[in-house]
Amino acid sequence: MKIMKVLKKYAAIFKLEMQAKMEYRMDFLMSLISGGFTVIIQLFLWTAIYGGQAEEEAVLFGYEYSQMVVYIVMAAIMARIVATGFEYDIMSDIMEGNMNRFFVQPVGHMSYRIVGFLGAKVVENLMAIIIGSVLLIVLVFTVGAEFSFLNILVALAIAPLSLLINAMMFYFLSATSFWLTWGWGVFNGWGVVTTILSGGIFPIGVFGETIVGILRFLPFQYIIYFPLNIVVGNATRAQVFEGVAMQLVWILIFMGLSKLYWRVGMKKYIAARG
Amino acid sequence: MQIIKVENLKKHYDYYQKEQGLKNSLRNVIKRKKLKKEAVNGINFNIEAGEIVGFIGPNGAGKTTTLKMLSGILFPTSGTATVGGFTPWERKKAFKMGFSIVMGQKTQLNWDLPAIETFNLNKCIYEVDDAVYKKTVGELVELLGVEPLMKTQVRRLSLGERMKMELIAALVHRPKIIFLDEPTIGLDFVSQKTIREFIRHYNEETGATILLTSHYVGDIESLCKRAIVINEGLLAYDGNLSDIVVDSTIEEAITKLYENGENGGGTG
Repeated sequence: MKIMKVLKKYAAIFKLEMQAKMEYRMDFLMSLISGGFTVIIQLFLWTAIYGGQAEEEAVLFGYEYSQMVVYIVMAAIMARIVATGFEYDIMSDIMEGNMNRFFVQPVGHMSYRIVGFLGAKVVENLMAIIIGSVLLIVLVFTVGAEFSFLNILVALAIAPLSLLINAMMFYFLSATSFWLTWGWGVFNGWGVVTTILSGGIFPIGVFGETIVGILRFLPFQYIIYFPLNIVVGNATRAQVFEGVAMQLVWILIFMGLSKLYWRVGMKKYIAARG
Repeated sequence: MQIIKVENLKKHYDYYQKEQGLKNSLRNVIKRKKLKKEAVNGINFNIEAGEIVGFIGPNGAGKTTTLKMLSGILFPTSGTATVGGFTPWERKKAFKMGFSIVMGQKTQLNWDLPAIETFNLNKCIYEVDDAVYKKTVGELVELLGVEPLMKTQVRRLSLGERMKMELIAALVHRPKIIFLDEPTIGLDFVSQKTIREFIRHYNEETGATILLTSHYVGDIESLCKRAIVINEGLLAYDGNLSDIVVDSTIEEAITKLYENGENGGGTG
């Protein structure tokens, strides 16, 4: 009975946020289209770089030309799939004193935000997966990309963990608003750093061995680079297992850190504006 | 039974000031001088179960700060309070299940969806049974006359309509203790009257304890036998409304209490 009630609670949060998001269907489409422009710029760039290599089958940073094209196109989609946005809502909740309801109602803030976020992402991400699939097929015929179905399934199975790492990381960061009141700069800056280090623009191999070695122990690459490397067929089985383990570890680390950081922040909260 | 007990409750805030002009803005970037505001400076009162008490005072007197402490939103600087047998700022689940707070200037409704979606969310959050939920919301919707608005997005509602929805959302779990912070602020006369009658009706039907703040004399006069007046963080009066309006109107009596506060205590 108790478990049923808890499940019902989260199902209600999930459904409410999902419905609310569906009121803004154009927004997502526009953000995908604007993301398309950076991809086009990159396509020209990489075509030029690979074209400079004399041989037909040039391999740069471990990627053939067709793999690189698949990577940058899919990276743009994956970046949209994992993108959060609730950090700005939390910021204005804190600034305007709308956090009150979370202190008053018997529902935890972290579970509300994360479950609500997953609900809000459902429709967007289904659209992203459909668009991604169409683009993959187009790439097969245009640049001769090759895929194994199994790899795509594995990547899809791993994607929810990628989404969760990013969500937990930004949830953790959101508590910064308790001190700054206006955290826009922090969130934007962190967003840019995350996109680049997670391989959301180009594969992290570009950074060179030393940095890649460090990134292995940080959360970023497990958000975008890791699932995409599986899609393009560059990940070994051992790397897949290690990656999933790292994803789980980082989700737990961010959960723990969030609990602490938020507890300190909540004490600072002064419930502004009347 | 005393359902709310407040003893020597205090809340002091840190804040800072800025002198006029760009130069002083720059100075503030480097160093801000911390100041202290005693928003609530040691107040005592008790409230019996089933009472409707008017909690009044001028702007900035500390009303909302007190309500926030009694709801567990804020930690007090010092002092104690029990609400329904719990210390509010311990934020126990059992405490949360039994009370509600409505702030006239805040919203808990989702603006993108019709209000009924928030009612349903609250039903699940407060673990209310389907049958009880249907009956409660049915009654509240009828009493407030908002049936035709049930499918309208909250952002398209007028202020008065929205306030009625806020009240319903806050009462889905049939709380025993209710804090209403200016529930009629900015509303027209008809809406004010509807909400007043609704509050009285709810109190009579359920025996809920209600602590109400308002700047409208009409609200206080028609709903509350007892008034607690607070000014500059200190108690200015606690007793029957009828005792202070013996030879004057209620406005005059309250004005006097407000002015006394300014001359007398308070450091705010």
